[in-house]
Amino acid sequence: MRKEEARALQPVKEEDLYAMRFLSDPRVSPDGKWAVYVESRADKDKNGYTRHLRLVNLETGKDQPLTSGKSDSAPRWLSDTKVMFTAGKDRTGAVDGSSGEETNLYVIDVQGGEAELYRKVPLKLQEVHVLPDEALIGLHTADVSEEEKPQSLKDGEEEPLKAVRGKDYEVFDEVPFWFNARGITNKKRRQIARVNLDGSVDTMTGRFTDVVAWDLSPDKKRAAFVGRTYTDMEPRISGLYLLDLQSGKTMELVPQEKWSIGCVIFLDEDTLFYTALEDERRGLNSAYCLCHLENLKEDESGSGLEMGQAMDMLPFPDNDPMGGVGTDCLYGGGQKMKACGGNLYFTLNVRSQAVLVKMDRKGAVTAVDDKEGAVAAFDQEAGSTVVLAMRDMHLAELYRLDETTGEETPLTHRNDDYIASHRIEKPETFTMKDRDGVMLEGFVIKPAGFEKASAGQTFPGVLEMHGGPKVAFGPVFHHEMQVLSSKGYFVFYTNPRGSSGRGDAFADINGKLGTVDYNDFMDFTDEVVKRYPALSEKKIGICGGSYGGFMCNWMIGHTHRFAAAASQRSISNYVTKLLCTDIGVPYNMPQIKADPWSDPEKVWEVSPLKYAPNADTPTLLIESDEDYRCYQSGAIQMFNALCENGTPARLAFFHGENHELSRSGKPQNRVLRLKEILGWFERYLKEKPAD
Amino acid sequence: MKKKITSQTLLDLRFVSNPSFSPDGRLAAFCVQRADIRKNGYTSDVYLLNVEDKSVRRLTAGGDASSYIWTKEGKILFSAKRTEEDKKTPKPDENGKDAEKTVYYEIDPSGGEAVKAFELPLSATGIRAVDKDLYVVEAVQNNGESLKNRAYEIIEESPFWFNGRGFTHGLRGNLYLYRRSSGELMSLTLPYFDASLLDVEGNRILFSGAYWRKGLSYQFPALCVFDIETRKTTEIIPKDKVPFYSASFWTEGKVMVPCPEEGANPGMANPKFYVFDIADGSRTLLKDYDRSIGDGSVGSDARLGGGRGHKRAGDDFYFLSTLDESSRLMKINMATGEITGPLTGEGSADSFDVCGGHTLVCGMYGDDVAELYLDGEKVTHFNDELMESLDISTPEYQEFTNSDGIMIHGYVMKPARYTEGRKYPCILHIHGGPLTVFGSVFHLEMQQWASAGFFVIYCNPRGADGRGNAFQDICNKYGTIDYQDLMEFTDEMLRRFPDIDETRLGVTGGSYGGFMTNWIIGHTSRFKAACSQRSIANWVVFEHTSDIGYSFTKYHQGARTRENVEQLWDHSPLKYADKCTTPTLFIHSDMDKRCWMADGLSMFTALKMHDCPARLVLFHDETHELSRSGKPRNRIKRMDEITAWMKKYLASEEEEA
Repeated sequence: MRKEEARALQPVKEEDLYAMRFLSDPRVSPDGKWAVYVESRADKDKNGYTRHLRLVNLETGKDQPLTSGKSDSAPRWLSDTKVMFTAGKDRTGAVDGSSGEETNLYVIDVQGGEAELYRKVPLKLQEVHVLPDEALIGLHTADVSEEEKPQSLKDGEEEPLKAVRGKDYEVFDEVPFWFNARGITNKKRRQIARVNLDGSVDTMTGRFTDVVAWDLSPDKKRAAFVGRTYTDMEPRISGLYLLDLQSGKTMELVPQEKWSIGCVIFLDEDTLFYTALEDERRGLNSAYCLCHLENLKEDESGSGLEMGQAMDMLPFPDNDPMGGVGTDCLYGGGQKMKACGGNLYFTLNVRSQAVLVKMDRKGAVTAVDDKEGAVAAFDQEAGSTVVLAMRDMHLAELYRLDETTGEETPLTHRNDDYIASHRIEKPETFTMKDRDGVMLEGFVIKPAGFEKASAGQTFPGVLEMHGGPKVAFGPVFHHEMQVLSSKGYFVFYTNPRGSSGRGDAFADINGKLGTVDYNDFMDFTDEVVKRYPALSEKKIGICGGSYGGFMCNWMIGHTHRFAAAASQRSISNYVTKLLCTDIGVPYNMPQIKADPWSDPEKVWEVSPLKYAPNADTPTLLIESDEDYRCYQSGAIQMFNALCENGTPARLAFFHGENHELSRSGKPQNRVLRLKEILGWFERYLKEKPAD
Repeated sequence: MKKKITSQTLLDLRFVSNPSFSPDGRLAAFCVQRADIRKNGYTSDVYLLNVEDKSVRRLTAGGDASSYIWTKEGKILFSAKRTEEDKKTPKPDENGKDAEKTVYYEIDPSGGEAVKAFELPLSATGIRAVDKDLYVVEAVQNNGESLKNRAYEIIEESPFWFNGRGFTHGLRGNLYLYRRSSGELMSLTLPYFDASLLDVEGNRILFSGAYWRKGLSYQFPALCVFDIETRKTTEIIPKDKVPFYSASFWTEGKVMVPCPEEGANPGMANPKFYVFDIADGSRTLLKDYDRSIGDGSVGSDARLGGGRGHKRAGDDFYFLSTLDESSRLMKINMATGEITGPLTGEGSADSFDVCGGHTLVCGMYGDDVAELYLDGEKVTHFNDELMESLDISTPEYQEFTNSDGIMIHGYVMKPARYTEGRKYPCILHIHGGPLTVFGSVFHLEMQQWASAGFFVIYCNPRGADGRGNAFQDICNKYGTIDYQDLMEFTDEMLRRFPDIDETRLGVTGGSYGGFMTNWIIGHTSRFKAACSQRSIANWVVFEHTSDIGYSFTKYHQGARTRENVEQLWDHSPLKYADKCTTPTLFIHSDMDKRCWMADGLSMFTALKMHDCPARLVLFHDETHELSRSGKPRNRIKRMDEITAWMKKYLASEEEEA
């Protein structure tokens, strides 16, 4: 940015969350003339988010509001001009007084006029599609337990004089029994449900099968789905199935025996693409596979497919599809994979970027859009490609992509005023080699006041660490980092070994947590200290969540070089991480290559709690009571151990939030969280606390 | 035919507690509680006993008088929220601090309804009358952030939660003097000083407490005397020096502090009668003693409400004490240290009062639940009719010598309508603590199992109360000698009662009993069903999550994590969970901050991982006390869950039908 501008710019503040507009879920009309998307804003007073649809005319470039609801989402084109979307309670009103177990679908014509109720469905349906016979199909979470079901009470009806499941108690008879952001999931299964025109509902998948991914065939006569069938322990592996929507018959394509299948999509009527991972390679990159349905025999008995036809493995790409780059400024999802013109388009992490690529049927991958930053979602219809991307330190906006030139044209400017009026600092980048000769990318955001600093003036700094560990940070707008920079901190980050975008050789730290990754952070910090003399080495804080919280807890027990820590949704004891969380058994156990019976010493070796007695770094722990990923036991054990030391410690414990607090938590809580982090660093990293 | 006892029997019980003589000794008040399934709670009212003619009548009728005191004028004072005005929460003060209030009502035993006496701007938890006008009030004061409507907890101290009280960070006990005539309210303690009222005599107030602002809590409080006239506080014992929980004024210039001898493990050793000099803090042993002082520990889920465990009267100090399987009333001469007793019989003296030569005991005797006994004579009959109608299985006392030559005491309950020669399934029940006992008293869940056709056996293994230090000290021995005693007791009962089907044994217990259940299923497959309640599975987790984890782990396991993690892991049932084959039901409550649910969840997952049938029922908004004072509907559900699980795996088809 130019210096004369800088003077007038506003610092980025915690409350700026309320000024930002979060775009998501772009969808292009079948004729390629329109794009509809969702715009969300944090509502301070309601302490929630409002969402409505906006529309871009791809011919004129005009961007305008489409719906005026408070909670309109999931737009899907029914024709060239009609958009179906899921409406919230604001639109349906309180008339029904229901428990939220229903779905209201509205339709709006982009040529004008208000939205009208299209279909009212008596259950909560997600990922809804309209079938040729106008029946709806979607994913529904069903309670398949044999336990007594809670009764829904009618008006004036008295509650039964006994304990009620779901209200007074829960029954757990399988593992996992809860799941982050979904709550208690014991004997809950995501099922493909068909809602007929008369309102009747047909469940299309097995009672105990949890549908983890699915896709409709282009002619909408069949569905392919990835399912896990279990009644006691959720298996790591899953099966691939083909569902005939007319007959209701299911055929097994890949049995639930050996593979964990990640995603599935129809490339055309007769070809499925899916990713598959052998159980023993848990946590590493998946194989890309095709399944040729044209060879399917009408056979009652089995799949009717030879193994090679069900699993035609493409060259190993060593990179999982549908990547992204870490930020706290994306709200709402979007499409990350789509079959277009015989090719498969998807987002992919390449080092610290998330790029859009296409893959042909031989598995050859070429970049479609690999500009600096991150593609968060995209859509393509009739030759019009629209990407939702974070470019040039902007918040996510829509861009039209010219595939032949690779040029992007901005379609939306929803945050241009905010970005232009605030001091946004772009990270400087460098590459370095760690002690093992592995190249690392470094990012450094300079502090406010850096340009005008007097000779010898130093600034405190914060090392930010991402979660995962198999994700990546990149050169994109990150609210928390910009707030820190605005308050006068250097902010620096890297993607250490274990991160995504660089293949298995780089990502595979299974059994090595806290060793090579820790070394990379130390080497990186040394390098930043060397390159930036204005960074005060004695005033460096560390900050991270999830795996980043694990690393904070680990670091304070292994080095005294840091002056403060903000450890969020963290892990301290792998015994409770393995046995109390949603992904403990399937994911964390292979990750640490040990369990409490085969190798208790190793489980303890990798637990930061073991080293807590060494810690003297003032540490802020942030935790949420519905975080079933990194359960509260992690932060609580660490906090009490630090108190035992006499180490300054603070536990900020949020109610009604989960692992996503920093990304999609209630807005006031997100602001409070940022203030907690800022407050802690101000106290321990600044010579004189700023006002 | 008599009625079988079921989970619903809970709703028929009346719970008598907290007897207290009027200042003139002619009346005694007490509380009667009962479960209210509609409210899903309990109602409580104050009743009166006429000491002379032994007549009993109800005094309050609001169902809301759960604790009360006698004023010096002979009226009953209790806190309640009776009007809309009472229920209104006061607005926070100008600093954003929560404003509190407690409304007191007063009722004249000689007639008339309760009227509002006064209102305190405090969250009062206790009150004692000093004289006709002056009161000492115990209140919880929030020294931290506002408690109401906060989005998150800001925690800077350990422990930060407490069983039954939820998050407690920033909360401290505070003492006030309240002068009723003028409304003057004076705080005796400073912010962040955590105080408990122990005794009042004349113009002096005996209290314990310590200042604690951030980080780890104090371990043992200081002991202080406040003089109302001079308004001066004298510290008798500095904080963190002497492990004690209660103290009483004693002979002139002295206080008696029950505490173990110096150097003893405070988690394992019984207190003795130590007398401290108020002026110089010097300590002398008045009387060696090797049992509990001031409380009994006979377990039962069929009592509710508190009451006095010790009292000075004349030259004597009366106290409850666990002797073998009973809680008994004892007395010690304050000057000579001579101990007399037991003054009550076998069973459980739960609370008492003494006055004018009369002794009034609230206790459980024979097959009865708690009733009042005046000088040994039963004077209340709230449950007589019910008890008469129920098919009660009377526990039969058993004793045997274990393989270490130590006598172990226990009981056997035969199944209801027992037919000799038939084979029955059997449940081994293990108490919590471990420093408590099971005795002969009425225990609802055990009666229910007997009614459902089970033999029920239980004993007091090493680690239990009532037998002295040598018996109860199992520091660093969890899962060894206690486990051995329980197994040998089971062997012995199988020998003595051949009608117990040894292929159909179940085991259950809560807290320490849950620890032991978890331990047992990892060490033997002789039990075909288990129910592990509010259990401990991993001492590392317990130390770092329980409200008492820091001290309890050290005193009971002999080490903290940082001192010897291997020792803790060796004594952790989770270590052996891969060997479990016993189908196990886990019961936990999400507000249990004593044995936190992470341990139940860990054991459950471990069993599932190893293909052992398991089920976990998690109760919302219940604490460690679910089985004893939880919401009635949840208590019924819990009982039904346990019985159903035992029946599923232990009952024959014929019995199930």
